Amino acid sequence: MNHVIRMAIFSVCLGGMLAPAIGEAATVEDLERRIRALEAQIEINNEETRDVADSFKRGMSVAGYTDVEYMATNKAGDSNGFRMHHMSLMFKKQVNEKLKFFSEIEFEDAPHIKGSSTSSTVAGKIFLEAVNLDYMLSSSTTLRVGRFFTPAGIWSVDHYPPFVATQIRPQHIRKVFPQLTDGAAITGQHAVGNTFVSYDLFVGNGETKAFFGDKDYNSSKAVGLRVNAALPVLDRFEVGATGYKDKTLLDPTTGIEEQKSAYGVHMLAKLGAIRVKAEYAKGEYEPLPTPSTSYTRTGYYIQPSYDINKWTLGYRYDYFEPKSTVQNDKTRINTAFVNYHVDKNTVLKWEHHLLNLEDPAKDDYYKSIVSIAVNFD
Amino acid sequence: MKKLTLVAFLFLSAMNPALSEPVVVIVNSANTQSLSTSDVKNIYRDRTITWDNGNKIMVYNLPSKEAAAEVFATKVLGVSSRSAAASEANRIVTNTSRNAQLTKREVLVASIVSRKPDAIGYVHKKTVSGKEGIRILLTLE
Repeated sequence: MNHVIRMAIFSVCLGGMLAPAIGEAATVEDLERRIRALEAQIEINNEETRDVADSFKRGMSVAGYTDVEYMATNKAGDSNGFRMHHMSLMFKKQVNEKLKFFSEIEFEDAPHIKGSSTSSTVAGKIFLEAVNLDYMLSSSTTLRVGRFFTPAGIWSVDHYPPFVATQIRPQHIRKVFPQLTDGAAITGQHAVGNTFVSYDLFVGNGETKAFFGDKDYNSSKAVGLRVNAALPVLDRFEVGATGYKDKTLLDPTTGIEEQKSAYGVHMLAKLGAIRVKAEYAKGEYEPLPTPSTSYTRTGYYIQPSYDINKWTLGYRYDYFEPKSTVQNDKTRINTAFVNYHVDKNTVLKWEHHLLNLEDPAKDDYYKSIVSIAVNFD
Repeated sequence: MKKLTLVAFLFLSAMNPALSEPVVVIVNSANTQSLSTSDVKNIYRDRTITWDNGNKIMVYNLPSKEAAAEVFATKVLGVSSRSAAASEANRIVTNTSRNAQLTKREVLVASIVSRKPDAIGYVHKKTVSGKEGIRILLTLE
C-alpha cells in the first residue's frame, strides 16, 4: 500500500515537474526561430556597420594594376628576358554628386632615377597618363577636362593589360589616333529605340613629339568625335566610327607643320562563347607648306576569340602600313593567344606573334610572351 | 556537347542546392516602374543609369563567386559572373563607368533594397521571402 501511495506521490511530482517542460515544447521552437531571426538581424547590422565605416573611410580611393612578362624572340639583336612592364596607380575621388576626379600615374619598365652632382641615371618611364575632372551635366551628358585617353575605336580606351587579350597591342593603335588628349570632351549616351548611342566630342592640344602639359605646342586645336552604337542583336553587338583632325608642329625652328585627318571604324560582337573585335583606321598627312609629300597611314586588325570556362583562346590578324610613300614598310602580324582568367582581376596570358615584314632586307621574326596581369580595385 | 553540358549542370545543381534555387531581381516596393530582362541588362551594363523619375539608379551586385551572381550573369547578361565583374572593373579602371556598381553580401543587398527606393539588386528568392519593402521584378530559375 505504501508502495502504491509512494508511486502515486512520485507520479504527481513527476507530472508537476514535466508539465511546464511539455508546455514549453512549442515555445522552444518559437525561441529557436526567434534566435535565427535575431542572428540574421545581427548579421545585417554588422554588414551595415561595416558599410557605414567604409563610407567614412572613402576619401581618395586608390586602384591600379601591374603586369610582369617573359618574352622570347628570334629577332636579331634582341634577347629573351623578363620585363617589369607596368605598375600603375589610379587615384579616384567622387568630389560631390556631380564632380569626379580621376588620375593615373604609370611606372613603366620599373623606373630608376638616381642622380648626383657628377652623374645621373634614368631608366624606365614615369608618366601621368590621365588626370581629369568629370562634371555630370545631366544623367546622359558629362563634361570632361584634363588629360584623357583619346576616345578612338576600342583599344585606345579599353587597353589595360588585365582586360585585354595580349600584352602587345595592334600596330596602328596610338599611331593613327594619338594616345592621349589634353583638352576637354563632352560625352553622352542616349537610347534610340532599343539602341544605345554614345558619343565623345573632344578638343585638345593635339599631338606633339612628347606630352607637355604646360601649353599647346601646335598652332591649332585638335578636334575629334567618336560615335558608338550598341544594337540589340546577338549577345552584344557594337559598331562605331571615329574622326579626328589636327595640325602638328613638326619643326619649331622652321615652322613646318603637318595637317592630319584621320578616321576609323570599329566593331565588337559576342554570340555565346564567341567574340570578335575589329578596328580599321586611316590617317591622311599633309606637311605644310609642302603638300607634295602628303602620305597616308593605314592599320587594321580582326580578333576572334572563344571562351571556355576560365579560358579564352584567340587569334588576331594585324596589318599596318606606316607611310604610303615608303616602299616595303608594311608589317603583317599573325597572333595566337591563350588567356586563363584566375578571377575577375587576374589573368595569365600566353601569346605568340609571327611578324611578317614586307621589307626584303629584314628578316621575319617571332615574339612569344607569357605574362601575368593583375588589377587592384 | 550540349547534352554533356546539361548533364554536368544538372549534376552540379543537384550537388549544390544554391545553384538550383531561384534568384530574383528586386527593387524597393515604392518603385512602381516595370522592367524587362533587357532593361535590367542595360542597367547592369551601365547603359541606363536613371529611373523614369530621373533619380539615379543604385545598382547592387553580389560577389562574383556567389551562386546567385552566376545565375544572374548567365541568364540576364549572357556572360559568366567573372566576366561581368571584369567588365565592371574595366569600366572603373578606364574611367568610363557612368554609374559605379556596389558589391555587397546577399543579406545586405536585400536589406538595402528594402530601405532605398532607388536601389536594384538580385538575391536568392528565399532571402526576401516575407520581407517587407521589396518588390520582385524578375524570377530567374
